[in-house]
Amino acid sequence: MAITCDIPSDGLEAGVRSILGSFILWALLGATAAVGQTIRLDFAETPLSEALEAYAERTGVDVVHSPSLVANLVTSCRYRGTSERDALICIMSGHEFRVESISRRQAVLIPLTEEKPLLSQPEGQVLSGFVRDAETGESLHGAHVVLPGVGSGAVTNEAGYFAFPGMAAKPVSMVITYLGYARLDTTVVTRSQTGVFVLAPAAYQVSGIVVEEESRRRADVTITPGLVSVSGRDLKRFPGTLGNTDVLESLKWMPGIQRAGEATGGLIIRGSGPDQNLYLIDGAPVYHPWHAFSLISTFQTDTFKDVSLYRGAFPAEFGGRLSAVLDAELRDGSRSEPSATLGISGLNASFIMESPVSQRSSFMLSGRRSYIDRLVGRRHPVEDDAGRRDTLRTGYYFYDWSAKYTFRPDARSSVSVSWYAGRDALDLRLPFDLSLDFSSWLRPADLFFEVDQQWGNRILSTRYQRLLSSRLFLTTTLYHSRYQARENTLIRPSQSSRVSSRYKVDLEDTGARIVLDWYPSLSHQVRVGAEAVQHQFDSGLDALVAYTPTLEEPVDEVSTTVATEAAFFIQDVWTPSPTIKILPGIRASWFGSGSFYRLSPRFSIQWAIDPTWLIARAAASSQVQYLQRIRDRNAYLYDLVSSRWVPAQAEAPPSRSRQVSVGLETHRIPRTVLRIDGFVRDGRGTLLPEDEYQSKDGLLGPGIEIATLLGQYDRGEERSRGIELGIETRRDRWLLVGSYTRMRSENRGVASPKAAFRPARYDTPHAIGVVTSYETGRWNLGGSVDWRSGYPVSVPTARYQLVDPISGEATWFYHRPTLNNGRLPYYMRIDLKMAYQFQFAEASWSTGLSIYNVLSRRNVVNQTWDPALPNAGPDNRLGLPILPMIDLMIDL
Amino acid sequence: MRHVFRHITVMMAIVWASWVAGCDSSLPSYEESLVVEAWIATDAPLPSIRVSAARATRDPLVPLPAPDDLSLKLTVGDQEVQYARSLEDPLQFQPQSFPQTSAGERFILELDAPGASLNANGILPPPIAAREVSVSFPGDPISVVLVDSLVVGLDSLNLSVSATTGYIYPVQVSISWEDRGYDGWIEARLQPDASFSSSLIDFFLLPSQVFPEDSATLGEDGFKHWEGVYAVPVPEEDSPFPDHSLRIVLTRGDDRFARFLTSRDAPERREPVSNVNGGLGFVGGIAMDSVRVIVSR
Repeated sequence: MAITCDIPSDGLEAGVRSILGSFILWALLGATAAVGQTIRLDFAETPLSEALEAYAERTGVDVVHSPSLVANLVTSCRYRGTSERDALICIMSGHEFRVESISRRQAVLIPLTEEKPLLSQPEGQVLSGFVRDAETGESLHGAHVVLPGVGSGAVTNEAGYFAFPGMAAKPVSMVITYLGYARLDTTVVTRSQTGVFVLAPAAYQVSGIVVEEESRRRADVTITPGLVSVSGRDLKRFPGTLGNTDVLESLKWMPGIQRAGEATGGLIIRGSGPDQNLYLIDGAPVYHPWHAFSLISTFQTDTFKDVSLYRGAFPAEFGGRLSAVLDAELRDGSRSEPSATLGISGLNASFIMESPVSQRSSFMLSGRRSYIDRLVGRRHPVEDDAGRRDTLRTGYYFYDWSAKYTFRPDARSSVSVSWYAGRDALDLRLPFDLSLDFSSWLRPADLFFEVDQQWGNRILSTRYQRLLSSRLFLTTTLYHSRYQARENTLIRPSQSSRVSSRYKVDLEDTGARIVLDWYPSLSHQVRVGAEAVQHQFDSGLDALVAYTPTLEEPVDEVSTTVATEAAFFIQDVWTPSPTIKILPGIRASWFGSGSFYRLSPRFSIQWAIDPTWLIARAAASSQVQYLQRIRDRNAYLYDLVSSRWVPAQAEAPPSRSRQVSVGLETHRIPRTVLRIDGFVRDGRGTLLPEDEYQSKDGLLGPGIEIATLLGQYDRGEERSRGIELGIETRRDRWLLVGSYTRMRSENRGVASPKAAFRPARYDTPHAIGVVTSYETGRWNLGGSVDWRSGYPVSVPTARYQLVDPISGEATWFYHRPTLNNGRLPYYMRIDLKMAYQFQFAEASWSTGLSIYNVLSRRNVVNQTWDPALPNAGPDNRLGLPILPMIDLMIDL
Repeated sequence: MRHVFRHITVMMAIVWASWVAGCDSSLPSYEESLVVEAWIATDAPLPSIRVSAARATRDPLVPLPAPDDLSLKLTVGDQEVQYARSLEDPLQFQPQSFPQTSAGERFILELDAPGASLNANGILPPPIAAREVSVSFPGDPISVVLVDSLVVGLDSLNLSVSATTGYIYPVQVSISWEDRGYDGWIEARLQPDASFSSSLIDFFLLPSQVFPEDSATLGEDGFKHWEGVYAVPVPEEDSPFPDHSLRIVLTRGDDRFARFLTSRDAPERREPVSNVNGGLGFVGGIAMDSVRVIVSR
């Protein structure tokens, strides 16, 4: 895709053309640029770089260029007039460049090299460069760089760097694509310097000109198998969670991905458990990436420049989880101009601001906070008729902050510091006998409960990247990640009894990772690295149950464990032929708590049988997970909101999984991608509840010691297999993403050798997701359909009576011969989204209406049966009804 | 356009084939099961055994007797005892001989019926004997929240705590028993004879408890101690304490006994964990003692 504005054929330009034998693409500022104040230029043998800087100062138009391109070039030019276009043509006269517009106040300088090589250099040069966002200067990780004439391709690393060694010093055509950005077709010459290539966001509107998608996207051979990417622009077009655009929510539209709950819960990827996914922000792990009881994720869409989800055969640099890795990179902050965005939705208000700090540094700062507590009020002084006073509390809020500062001391290196902090806090003090009459809550109460729960993540990550040579790129990351949860409870159920507890869970990771990208030849790109992290697990419970003033049951437990994990990995991207890409890799890891050594090989291959017609992929991998998430299944007093991660140990060795997948992809239909994938996956050593029917039903449980908690679990095996069909099509103003997943996932405990595999908790044989969006001028209309099989449920098949030997009381029970032997009714929901954009007070505004469950279909989300009732039918627990939400965004 | 149609046709064929292949192979259906309940106590005559049949879920709520032609045998130690159906109650089976049991003896229950063969086994625990009992309660009723569950469900906007307020006399009871060094479990239960609707407030009281015996407090007197609390609801804040009879029961058993007891108190959610191979119910070896007291002002 390229900007499609030809320059007007006026006399001056024709003259330049005749001199240069070239042309200039000119969309910058439109064809009628001669407005505004007078521009005066007077250069005599002035270095071209200085002339461009002066031009930028006087016109406000930044001409992005690689310093190496204009080094040693000078210009002589005298201009006086009001046309920014003509002024630039004056500066560039005599030089073999063309100018491409990339935004309203920005253009890029591209050398004209088709006709003849600029330099005559021997074979064996390295063609390398950085790929960046044209507007903000952000490096683009995961951009596909293809040399069609050479038949080679590469994917940029975290710094946006790529390299093609062994190149001849002659012009080659190069295509750079990146999801959500305009495709860059250019011709380059291998130089000793590293170039900078900029991509403009797709469909960017420039002075009334809309950059169109290419008519048919050619499949290239650089797509990473198993990688799922959704552009930020598409994310905004999808209906989100209750009016919020959410990264993790949007991923569920991809085949094989679903959320565990109706509007809440973790991601279930190819039948895995939610705790088998690794979430990373700038290389640091996030252990609980959810807000509002898992309603929305901590991944605020606009704060990330890149979100990649690897399923199954993820690269060897990633490890520690069985199923998937979500790798998110915070934005560096704009390098061109300050900007700010304010937003408010039904759940929260947010802002993002970014700006260059100097020519070499930039920052991004974002924040988000829910405001329901501000509306309802957090503290409520109350007084009854007798003059008795109390202060009730009804506070809940969540917030998160993201910040990143990036400093580039020179063109070959950069240092960034990333900070993320997010927290949820629930603070209640209410009378016990609640009712829907909210006014009845606000009175002094003898019998009340207090709940003070807080949970959140904090991350500090520092990354240093340096281009050691054109063939070696170094990335080092130091990080500290902390997950904390506090649950304080005070219950006064009677005048003579009380229950209090203070429960805390801390998990701190301090880690370092060093990664070296080595480009030994055109057909090999090797990534080698090592990682070490120390996990510290702390938890404590201080509880007291006072049944009477003289009968108390105290609990005081503290648990601390430290475990070190180390890994070494090597991954090659081998391109033996232009149509075949092979990714062998291996990860060797060691876990100190139990001294476990594990090898995790990965292998994937991709064959472009025909780049447009058919691409075949296959992958196989083995993964290991040293941390597992469990919770006490008995006590109401703790483990209510917090996840408890525990390290592998002798009683619970690391879990393992294997996965094999094959897939086909075709771009045969214009502007449409069709995919079909099949996979088989198994796992062992995962933890399954020892008693699946046990749920929290008492005040106290057996305790918080890890060994005690593990006693509530059995080691298990799991397996899943499935077929995933996906379609993505873009027609004019339409976008449609659809998926169908046919999958079975099963598990069994291994304590009983005769145990048969049974449907897993989130087994979903069929799932269909369709999301579509239509953009017209100022309007964006979207809709989605989510249909899936109901989750498994344990259905009783018989009823019997037992008699208590002491009281003689008879009780009826339902008999369920096997777990998950039935299924809830199918789930179906339709959401709609409408957004309208307009300009007001020199700002861009966008207001939207999201309607959740527009049909108000009350899906059955759970079923229970009461054996004492003559009617044997289930009691259905219903899901959310229709919920409209309004949001507003302001771009300053 | 033709090739587009062909693509769509192929995709739909794949979807259809996957759909068919993805159907659940079978739906849950009723299967006949026999239910056995036997509590074999140490130092006691063999008990009667209750045998019934599970019913289909839509059948009436009336216990279903087991088939006629079944044989039931209980072996305790080296003594084998046949059981026969009671003439008065078709659900009950009576021993045909009456040997006395003793601690440490292994027992095996075997039941054969057409299409079913059930068995269960265990070891009889040491006997238990209750010692001192003390009871105390306040002079006036106290205000209390009557709550039986804490249900929180965000998916359904179901954020509720089912509770009302009322008045009770909390009665605190202490009981002790001899420590026999047994590595097992104790169920202590306070069972007032009056019909108090105490289940509503049991959640925050302690009318019964199942606990490892070694976790019980060992007093200076050398006996194990347990304390519990039950409630006597009254209608008004100035209502007098209602006199009543209280039975305090101590039962000793093994791990499976504890597992059964702790899993039978949520019938709407689950069934008790059975130790009967091939059937349902529970066959346990227990030692039991009880004390009855009159609780009055």
